[in-house]
Amino acid sequence: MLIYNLRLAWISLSKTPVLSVLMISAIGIGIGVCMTIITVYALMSNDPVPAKSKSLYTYELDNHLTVIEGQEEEDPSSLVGYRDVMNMSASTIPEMQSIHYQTTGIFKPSDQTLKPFREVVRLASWGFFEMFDVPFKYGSGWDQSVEEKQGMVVVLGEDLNDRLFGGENSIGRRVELAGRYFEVVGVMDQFSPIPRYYEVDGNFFDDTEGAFIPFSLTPVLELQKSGGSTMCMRDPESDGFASFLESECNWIHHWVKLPTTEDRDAYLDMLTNYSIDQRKRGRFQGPFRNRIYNVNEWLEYKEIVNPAYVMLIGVAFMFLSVCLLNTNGLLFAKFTGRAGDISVRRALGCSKKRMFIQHLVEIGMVGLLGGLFGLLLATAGLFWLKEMFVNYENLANLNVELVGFAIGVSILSTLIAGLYPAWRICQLPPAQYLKSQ
Amino acid sequence: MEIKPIVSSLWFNKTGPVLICLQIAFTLALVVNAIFLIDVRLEKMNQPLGIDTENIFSLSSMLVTPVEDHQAFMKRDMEAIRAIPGVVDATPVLTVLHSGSARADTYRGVPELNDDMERIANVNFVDEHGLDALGIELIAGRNFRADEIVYLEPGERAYTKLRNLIISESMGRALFPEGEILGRTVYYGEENLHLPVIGVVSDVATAWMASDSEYARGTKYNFMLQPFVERKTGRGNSYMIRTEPGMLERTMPEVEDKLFSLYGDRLITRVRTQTDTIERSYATDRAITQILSIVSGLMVLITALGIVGLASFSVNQRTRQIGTRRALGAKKRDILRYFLVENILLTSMGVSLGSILVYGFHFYLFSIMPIPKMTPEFLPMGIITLYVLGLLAVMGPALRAASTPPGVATRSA
Repeated sequence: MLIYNLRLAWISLSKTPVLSVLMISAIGIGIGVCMTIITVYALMSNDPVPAKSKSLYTYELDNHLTVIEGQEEEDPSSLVGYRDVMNMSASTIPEMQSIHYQTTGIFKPSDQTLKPFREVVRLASWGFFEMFDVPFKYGSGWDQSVEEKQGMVVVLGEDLNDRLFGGENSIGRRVELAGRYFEVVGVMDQFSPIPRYYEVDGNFFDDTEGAFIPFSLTPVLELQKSGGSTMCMRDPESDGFASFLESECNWIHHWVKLPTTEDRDAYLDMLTNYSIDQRKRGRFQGPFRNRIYNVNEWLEYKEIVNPAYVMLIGVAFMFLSVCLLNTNGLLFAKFTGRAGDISVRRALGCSKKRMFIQHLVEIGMVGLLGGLFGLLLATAGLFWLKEMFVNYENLANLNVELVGFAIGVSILSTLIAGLYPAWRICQLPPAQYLKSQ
Repeated sequence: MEIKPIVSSLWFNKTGPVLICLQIAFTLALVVNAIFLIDVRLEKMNQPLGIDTENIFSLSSMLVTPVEDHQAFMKRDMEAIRAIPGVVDATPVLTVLHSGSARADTYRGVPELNDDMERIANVNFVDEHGLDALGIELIAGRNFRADEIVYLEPGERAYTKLRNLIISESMGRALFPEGEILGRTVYYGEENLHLPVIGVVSDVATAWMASDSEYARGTKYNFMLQPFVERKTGRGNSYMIRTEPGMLERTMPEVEDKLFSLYGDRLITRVRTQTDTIERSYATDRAITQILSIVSGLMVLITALGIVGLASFSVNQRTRQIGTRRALGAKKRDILRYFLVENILLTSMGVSLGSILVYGFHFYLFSIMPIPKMTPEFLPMGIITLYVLGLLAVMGPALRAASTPPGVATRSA
């Protein structure tokens, strides 16, 4: 029966080639545009760690040093100063935590024939790897004791390990970075959360850093932060890196893992108590507007998704609905034009139900063909975006889910668009049209 | 006129016409808003930047092995670059202009510590060749002298060495709403540093020129230059180099070679033309503009094809009626007029509904993103476009209808 219906549908579509092509292109273009825009939006609004996005938190510590009218409207700093971050990290409320910042270092390959090169390096405290689910190819991160001893160790990114050691297991080997020697303790597997939520300061969609070294080396190495912002509530007291560390400048990221809402509340209380304590010591004077955010709240607060992309989603669906209206109109015209045929079949005993099903099959076929055409267009669209714009380099290719989704949406929406015309046509009284033949 | 029979014929078979009306309405709503958004972005992307963008390139130089005397090193680098034929001038900068990365700080036009009087400025560092190397026009006062340039060591606080400033006209107006700008004193920080304005330059766009927020738009020319050259750890020093027109491509590799020959133990990265830098800053705007243009174009195309499809279909359906009308004495142009008037009626209904949708969609957009209010000329332009589009789309089928021979009526189907 289905085969028969499919054959009839095919015959019907090929009888009116212009209308069929118009319908299929309308659906195809609608689906193609929609899929392209949804893929772009999905990249922008991706949840980078679905399993942990509700238990990983970062905070804003309000460290205004003066009280000024109108200050309530100003957001507190999203970064923390060195002094405060060291105090904060003493708290035992979080199950895990990591302090980190980004810099740039020069690597000198031991092979003298290779040129030195620069690479983004992150100074991160030992909790980073477990907390952010960093996958390892060889070895692992360092532990608390190494961190406390200010061990000269490094975790290499996969690409950097390829570059320095030809992809071999380099655990225990030495690497020259920023004029000092580090021992390799781990090599990461591909790790590039999109967006890079633990640092949304610079370019949110940048590739991840090439290497990690212990945060406790900060005062030793004196490496300045790169690629993000530093906000000083007051300029440092004197010159030099040590004075910068003591200053009221905010520049470090701090993430904590708080598994339950009780932990979260306890941590927020701790921040408040800290603020009160610091006020007693004559530091913080502003209103205490400390805030705490989980991953998704953070990405939203930081407006990682440019609102223009939300707008594009609206446009995409509006576009799809116009394409469907268009198909709807064309189907209607087509079915009306076939009133004669239908009447004959009905008069010969074909039930309304079978008539209806047959039309739905035909509509489904338009949807399927339209969906396939749409996928072709979406692939072209994504390719074009990747070629044209640097910020879309990480754009996903169409995957099985998206392909299924596109075909599904296409068939479903075409069916919805065609339901009314199909139903209407089956309600026609056969006699009226038979007469006019 | 023959409007009445057209209306009653549309009414008799209303589903198709209603669908076309809806389609026209949605198309109008989307296309008008899209064109408006494109217009806003194009205007932003074409805003004057205040520097000689076409003839400038930048690079980052990072030393593998640090040098003792950084001041002498930087001076030697700069002199060598400036001596290359085709180079107009060069300067070290704190951050590459219009690259999105920048220093912002607040200054006051009054000595009182008052938050309301703080004015944000995009601060950049240059040496005494800065104005010439960036192609910034000096309106009043003078440039920094060579002996005023301070070479900073890592971690050295720039502001403690700050003696004078060059500011843009807009920055000057923000600090001093009235009177002369040149020679006035700018105040900085709790220490209340007194900084005389020694030069006023024409407006230079700030690093936040691509941002849509109202605050950013209001301060987008608040630009300031300070006489410093930094020595950085953890990142490289940025140089900006201006060439003679048309010499950019040729000069870029020459500068790189020259720098390596002066001091080989360094890394040179991010060698970029300023045009490329700006393209990166506007990447999102460009992408959205192009996506919107394509989507609007496709939407118009789909609607036109829909009109063609439905019109040809109705012509086919009505072949016999048309034949009958022709046999009864209707002229070709009467038939043609019938279809054109029918189309105008449909478009009119569509754009009436669409005009409401245009503003509905506009207010939705207004609620989710920072955009200015739409000026009134966009809607009529969209409406006229749709009328023209509808008439063009229906023309083909209508002409075919008009050429139906009267004989068709008498032949049996």
